Amino acid sequence: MDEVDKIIMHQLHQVDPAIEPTEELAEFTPEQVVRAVSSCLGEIRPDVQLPRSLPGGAMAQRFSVASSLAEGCKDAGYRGDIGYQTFLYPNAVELRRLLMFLIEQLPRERQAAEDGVGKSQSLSHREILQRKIRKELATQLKTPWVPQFARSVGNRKSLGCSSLCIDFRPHINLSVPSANPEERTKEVQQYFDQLAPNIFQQTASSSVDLIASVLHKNELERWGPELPDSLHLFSGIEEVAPPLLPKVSHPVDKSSTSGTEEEVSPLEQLSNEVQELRSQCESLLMERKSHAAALAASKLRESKATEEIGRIQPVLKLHERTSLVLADSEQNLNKLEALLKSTQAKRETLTQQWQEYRKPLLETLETLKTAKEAQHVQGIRSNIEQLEQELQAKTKQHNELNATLRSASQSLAPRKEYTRRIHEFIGNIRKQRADIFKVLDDTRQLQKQLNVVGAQLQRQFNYTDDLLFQSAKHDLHAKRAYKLLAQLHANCSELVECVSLTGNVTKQIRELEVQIDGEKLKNVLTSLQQITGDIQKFEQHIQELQGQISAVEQAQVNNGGS
Amino acid sequence: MEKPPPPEDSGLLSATVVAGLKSLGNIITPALTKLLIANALKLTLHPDATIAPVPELYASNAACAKQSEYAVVTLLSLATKHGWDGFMLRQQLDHLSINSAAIEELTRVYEDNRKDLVLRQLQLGHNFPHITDIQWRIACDVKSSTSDCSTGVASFYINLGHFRPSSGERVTIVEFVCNAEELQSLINRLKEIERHCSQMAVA
Repeated sequence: MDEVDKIIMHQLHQVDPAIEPTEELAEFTPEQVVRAVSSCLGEIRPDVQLPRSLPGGAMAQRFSVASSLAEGCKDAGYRGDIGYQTFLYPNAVELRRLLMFLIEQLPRERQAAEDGVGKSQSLSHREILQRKIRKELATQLKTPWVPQFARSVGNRKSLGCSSLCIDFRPHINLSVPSANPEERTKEVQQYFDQLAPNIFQQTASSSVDLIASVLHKNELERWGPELPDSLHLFSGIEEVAPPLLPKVSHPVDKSSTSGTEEEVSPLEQLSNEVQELRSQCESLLMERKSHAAALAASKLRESKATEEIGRIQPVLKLHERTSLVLADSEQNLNKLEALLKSTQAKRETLTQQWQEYRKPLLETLETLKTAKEAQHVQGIRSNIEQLEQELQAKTKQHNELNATLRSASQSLAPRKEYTRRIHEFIGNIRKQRADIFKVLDDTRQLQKQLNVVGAQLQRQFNYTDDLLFQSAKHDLHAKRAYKLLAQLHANCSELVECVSLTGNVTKQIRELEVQIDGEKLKNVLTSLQQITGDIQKFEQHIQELQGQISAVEQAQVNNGGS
Repeated sequence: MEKPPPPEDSGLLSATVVAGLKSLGNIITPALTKLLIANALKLTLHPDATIAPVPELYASNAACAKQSEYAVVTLLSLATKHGWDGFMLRQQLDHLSINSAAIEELTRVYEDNRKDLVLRQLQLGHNFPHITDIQWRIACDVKSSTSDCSTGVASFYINLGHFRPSSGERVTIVEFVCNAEELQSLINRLKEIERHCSQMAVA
């Protein structure tokens, strides 16, 4: 039973962390029982209000709390024997049965919810929103149906959601007397005084809405006066722009307007002007194009010429030099040879110098290279050492983890163990069932045999009885034999009765033994002691109350007397 | 000619509204002011109900009364729109130096009917229509303009609509034709929506 208790404790701790797990259910105090059961019931039926704890003082309150919890358990569908005694004088067997039932009844989504609760501190906005949506949907699903026309009344609590949408359609020409009475003419004033409909009449038609209309008009009046100013601004800009054009077209304009001033309307005049300007523009464009082409051709020629010059100049220089050299050939040849020699000598010395410089540098390069390699090797070595250390640490850790895993799997590994045991149980139960069937078969066969033998005996007896009775009429011995037979029969039936009675008694004894075992489990003695204690408390309380009542009565009598 | 004050001076109210509010309790007598405010509120809250007219409002100085009616309705609508409480409303009105009895009455009426005003203005707006009624019939064509014989297919003519709140008249929102298979798939999709909804609710 230890494991069952452990499972129950674990589940209870999940339901209500305030419940302190104890080793066994037998150690549960009545307070803990009440706490556990009411937490479970609260999870199963969140809508029902139940007492959360057992009051310490008065017996009557304790009794009422226990009875209401018992009622709650019965409502949740618990079939077993339950009453106030289950909570006030708990015994392990009944409690185990009750808690197992309640834990089975716990809603399944608890697990998922539990996971969510763990992270509740870091709820993101998204999750909060999702929760709100969920809540809203849940309430919407639970709300009763309301006819469309009753929705504005029926769904008041949710503020709207009424399915009655009025379009925002303002009356755009609402006529209301303006702010300053002085601005109005006499006729307007008269119209407003007598004929003008009020705003409710103006918005009475179903195509416009009163509130939309007044909001619209209010905004229009607030921002309306600003609009003309901005229009003015635009027109100013347009006025600045035009003067650029007329300058060009001025002479043409004059000639065209002077002749036919009267017939030509301003529009025609303007279009003529535009035509003129357009043709002018086209001709100018053409001109520009031809000029551009000429410019491009000249540029091309220029670039060709510069190229030619660039090619010719080096050739010219070469020619100049050769002519200089050829002017005094012998002397120049000598000079050149001397120059060649000196240059060679110079070169040799330079090579020598270079070699001198190069040697030490090469040497240093060599030494540096070897040093670098050595350093590299050193680095790799240290790296290897480090890695080895790391590897050792890791292996150690791995071993430790392995050990913990093994111990954990040993201590936990309940599933496999449980299934194995369950299989074992089932096998045992099957075996027992087969045995029971066998015994039942045996019993049935025995019964059959008994019946057969009994019937045979009966027939035999009847026959013998008849025979002896017939002969008893004539024979004295036969008469005696008949009497003996009758006695024998009576004795035998008595014996049979005795045997069956013995059987019944044994059966009853066995039943009683089972009952005694059951009652022994419930440790009646201690609960009886508790009950007697409580009864004594009650009696004490009653006596106190009676004393108080009599004191009050005495006081009243005294008051009446005085 | 006096230019109307710029918007930032008078807050959210236009000059006409301010003028209308100022004549409450001054040009219009206190008794009539009360009557006018009550009448304006009633007509604002129940635009479709038939409410008995109050001719005595317009007996003298009708133009002023009409202006004030407009002003009261606008004030209440704006206060509701911007979620003012009674205190805020009183502050705004005090700022405009309006008759104190009128302020008292306006604030009281606004505070008493604030929830109804909110409900009334929550309904106002542009939205897709709710579907609250469905009509349907089964129909089959006998012949068409291009063919003399029937297709022999019975179709469902389905009409989704709602009732206009003001007149109770039925308005068609959408009308469509489908055969049994299409109808089934539509129903399945709708059921899917419902399932999703309840899953969202319990998950």
